[in-house]
Amino acid sequence: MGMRGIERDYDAIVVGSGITGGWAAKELCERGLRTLVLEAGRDIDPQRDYTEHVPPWDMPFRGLGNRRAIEARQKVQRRSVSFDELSHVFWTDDVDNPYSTPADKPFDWFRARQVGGKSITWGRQVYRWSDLDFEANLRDGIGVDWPIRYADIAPWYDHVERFIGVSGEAHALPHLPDSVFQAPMEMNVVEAAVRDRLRGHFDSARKMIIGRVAVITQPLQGRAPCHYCGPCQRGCVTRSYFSSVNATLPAARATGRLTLRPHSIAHTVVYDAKSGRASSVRIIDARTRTEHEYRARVVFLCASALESVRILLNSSSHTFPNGLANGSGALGLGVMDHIKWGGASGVIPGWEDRQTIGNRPNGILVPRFRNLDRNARNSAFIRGYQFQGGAGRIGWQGRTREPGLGAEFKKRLTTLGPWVMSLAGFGETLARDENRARLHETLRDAWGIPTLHIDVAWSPNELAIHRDMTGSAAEILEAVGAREIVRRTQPSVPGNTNHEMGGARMGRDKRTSVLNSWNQAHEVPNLFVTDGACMASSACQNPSLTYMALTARAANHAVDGLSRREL
Amino acid sequence: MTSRRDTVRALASIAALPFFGTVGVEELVEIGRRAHELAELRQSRTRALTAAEYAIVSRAAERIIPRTATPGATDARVADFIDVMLADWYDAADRERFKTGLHELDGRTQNLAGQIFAKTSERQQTELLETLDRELHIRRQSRQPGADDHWFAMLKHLTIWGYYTSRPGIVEELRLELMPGRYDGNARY
Repeated sequence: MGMRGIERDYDAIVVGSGITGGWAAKELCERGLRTLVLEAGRDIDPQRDYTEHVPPWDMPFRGLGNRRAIEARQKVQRRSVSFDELSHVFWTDDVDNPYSTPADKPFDWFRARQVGGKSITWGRQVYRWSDLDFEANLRDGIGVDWPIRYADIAPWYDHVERFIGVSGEAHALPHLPDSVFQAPMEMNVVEAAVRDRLRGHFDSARKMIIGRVAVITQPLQGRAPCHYCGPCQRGCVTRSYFSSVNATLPAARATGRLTLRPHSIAHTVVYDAKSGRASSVRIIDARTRTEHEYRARVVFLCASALESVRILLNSSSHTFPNGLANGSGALGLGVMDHIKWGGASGVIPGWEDRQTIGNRPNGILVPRFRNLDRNARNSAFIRGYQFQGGAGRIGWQGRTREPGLGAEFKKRLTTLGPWVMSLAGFGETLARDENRARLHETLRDAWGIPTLHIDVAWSPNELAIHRDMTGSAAEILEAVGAREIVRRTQPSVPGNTNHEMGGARMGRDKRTSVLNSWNQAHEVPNLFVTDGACMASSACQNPSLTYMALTARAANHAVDGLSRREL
Repeated sequence: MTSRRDTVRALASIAALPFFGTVGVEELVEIGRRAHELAELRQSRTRALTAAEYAIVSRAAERIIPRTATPGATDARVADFIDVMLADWYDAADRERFKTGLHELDGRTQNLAGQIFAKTSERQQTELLETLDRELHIRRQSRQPGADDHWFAMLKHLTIWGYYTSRPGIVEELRLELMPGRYDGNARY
């Protein structure tokens, strides 16, 4: 057997073990396929690697992080909202994993290389899309039309939600369909008051509901309900929040058909021109730096949106000189993220004798209220946004710069301050071909694999959305009696929301899209891409639930196709 | 106990000695000061602060967050946290600015009270720190650039941060339940 010899055959190969790779593995294994999951990073053992119960006083830098080490090795990753002194181990090393952007167009590419991927550190908010979203590109003439509608994905949302566990409240909003819910988490006393006060304003168009979150409030298949410790980004030994480590990978393993190979950096999907199929996947072992090749009947790319695009771009061949399955030239085009941070906060007077106990891993949601009527825009932009946020009392952290010292000062710091209500917007980004990722001509990662040049910027529509977020958040706070309202006006850097998507979009036409309605490459029938790369538009909802539903749907389609010998 | 790192640092400064011929007088003085400091460091458990500096920091921290019915900065070992931050978190320039500030404070105290800071009364210490705090507040209010980089701003911030993230700060002062097992959004305060 030579260096490039095929070591072993599998029925299926899944590249990536994160939120979509875990789902592909579970579905494929449960449907009887011997499945190899290739994960670029190390294995994760919750008992050893999860640190959510380490108290602040046991951290050398008390939560401020090992600044020097992080500035040396994680200059990009540190900008994620979930990056902290302990959770930093769940992000990649920026020196080993470089990428580039134009100097005037920064892009935060947050990446994870370990079993579980970013499902360990994700925000856990889960919202269904509706046909308002799936029809949007067609209606506006932007990008390509989605090849699916809500009816195609709805049963798969059900399927995924029953397994992951979603706590939330049903509201029968047409544009934000209800999930299969466990008991909702509780609004605190001030959030509930704000919700009630809001009812009389804005023709009841701006509602406030409790967030929908993949954290269970009731036992589910051996997983315990949330105990409100707080720092979910460091893991969860009770497996209360959904991650692939906590739920899908154990389910896949239970079938006896899963092989998980950590330290496996997939760089090429090999195309066999004779059969017109993907035949194998090549990897470099991250530790030994040896090359390995694995063959399978079907390949799922679940490496995260931009990594999957990178693998396809690196997989060129005589048939596909510009990247595998890229006859259309659409590969790498239409990269999106959600624009965020437009919003406001303000003091809600009263309730000084009340406080919260426990760290609720969830907040409130103001569902989209702009441009809901398909025939009438009510704003200066197309599409819309939603607010996430919450109310809490100001603690000592917000007052370290106040004057004073001594016993009185100590008492002032210890005493909780007023209640502050905050709203932060997440806005839809249009799929524009100018926003793209391509292979860098010379830049390579620590293993010699060509890396990406990412060229993404907000367009006037996103910036108009952002301005409107700030204005309408302040209006909401004024309406409910907030004081000292502070407006947040600085847009996020693209990528910073960690909702990067697009680059291998689904579409009806193989001349303008990479994937068909089943996340299957138009030109390579046994190749599926089911992570964020497949997205043809971004909506404004947190995207992971939709990635999971599309993955489960695609995996079952692939098994059906294999059994009919169509792949 | 001498840590391995201090030993390495001490060896490094000794190893510089054969190159005397190429260094100026001021550098020689600096090497001498450093060697003296290192000797002191080897006596203590601290890594960035000398024993004298540590004494200033721990007394100042206690004046900022004193023991009342609940533990204070000394009980919470805030000076140890500040030592770790100076050794491993801040850059050399920040560390030197902080240490220079401590020496200035001693000089100021000598002029006013004829004693180094650590030896003056708690009342005198408080008065001196209140003056520094007023000066800091004025710089902040006039939005003077770099106000937060001033050594006293560092000391105060680190004292507060170190105290409220310590076990006594969280458990006895804030009485936070880190593992409540429940969420109550309308509890009595």
